[in-house]
Amino acid sequence: MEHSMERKVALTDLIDRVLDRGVAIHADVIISLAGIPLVGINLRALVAGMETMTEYGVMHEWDREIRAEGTVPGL
Amino acid sequence: MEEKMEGRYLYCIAEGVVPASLGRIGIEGKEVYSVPFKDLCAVVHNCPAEPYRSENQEKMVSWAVAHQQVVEEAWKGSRSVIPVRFGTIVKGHLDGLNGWLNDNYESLRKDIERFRGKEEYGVQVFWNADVIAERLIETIPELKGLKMETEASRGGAAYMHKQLFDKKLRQEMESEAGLRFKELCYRIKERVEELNIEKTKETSRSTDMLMNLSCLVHRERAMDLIEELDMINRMDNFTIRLTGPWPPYSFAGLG
Repeated sequence: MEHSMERKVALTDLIDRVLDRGVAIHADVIISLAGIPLVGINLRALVAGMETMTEYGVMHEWDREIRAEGTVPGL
Repeated sequence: MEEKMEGRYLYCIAEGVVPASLGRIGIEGKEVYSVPFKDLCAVVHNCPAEPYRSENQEKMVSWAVAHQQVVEEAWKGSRSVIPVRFGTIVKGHLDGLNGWLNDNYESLRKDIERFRGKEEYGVQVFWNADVIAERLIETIPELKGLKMETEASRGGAAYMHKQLFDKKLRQEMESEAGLRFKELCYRIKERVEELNIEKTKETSRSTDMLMNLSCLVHRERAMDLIEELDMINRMDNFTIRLTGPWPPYSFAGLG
């Protein structure tokens, strides 16, 4: 179909979620990664060149699985 | 001699059926397992109680991917999952984890219920700002007038007209963006449970990102949302980028 939506997952989508979102826990018994925003920026810069997950070998399986689940016939 | 302190790297909190062991799928191939607590469970691996950090950024990327894969795996079989942010470690052995789960049970329970049967989608709306600006110039007499005056004048007058034109165009574009944003937000909001407006990003595309949204959607209603997005994607000068379904990362800890 023409003009179909782009559904490719990029590594930055994953980094955004895993590093910046997800519940952040603040408690005495918790150790969290310091300087997360900076880590996020560095990692995003690194993955900016890797256009899609599939270009990054390690992500291939995951991308394929997601795609199989997320694919909607006709779109 | 003091023993190195133990910890549990926490991937997510889940409800429902998560296998006792998920295998060696964790960060750096660590054995991932679930620790039951009342009707919930925590998905963890054993590690020293020190921050996860590496100077090797590719390694950190692969850790982030592994983190996501574990959350995804736990999500698959369970009824609901609360994704935890990368790099979260609960100090101590199981007693530490159980103590923390006990202290936070009520609020975890609330999010678990909020996320049941739902999934997250990332929706980015792009618009072709150049084409839209051209159209505004054609349809708004004042803008068109300023443009013609700019083209017709020379020297200082041309400069002044150009300044006025640029300012007016910027105002009109902002107001157009605001209207479109509202309109599209409304259409999307109708089809989701919760909506977060995220920061837009610079892109390498020829079009600009107008909206960056996270949508929490009932699994059965996901098709509704996708169909609506497909309609928006067919509008002239608008394109959509859709990712997901994701575990509800962008909604954890907001309730």
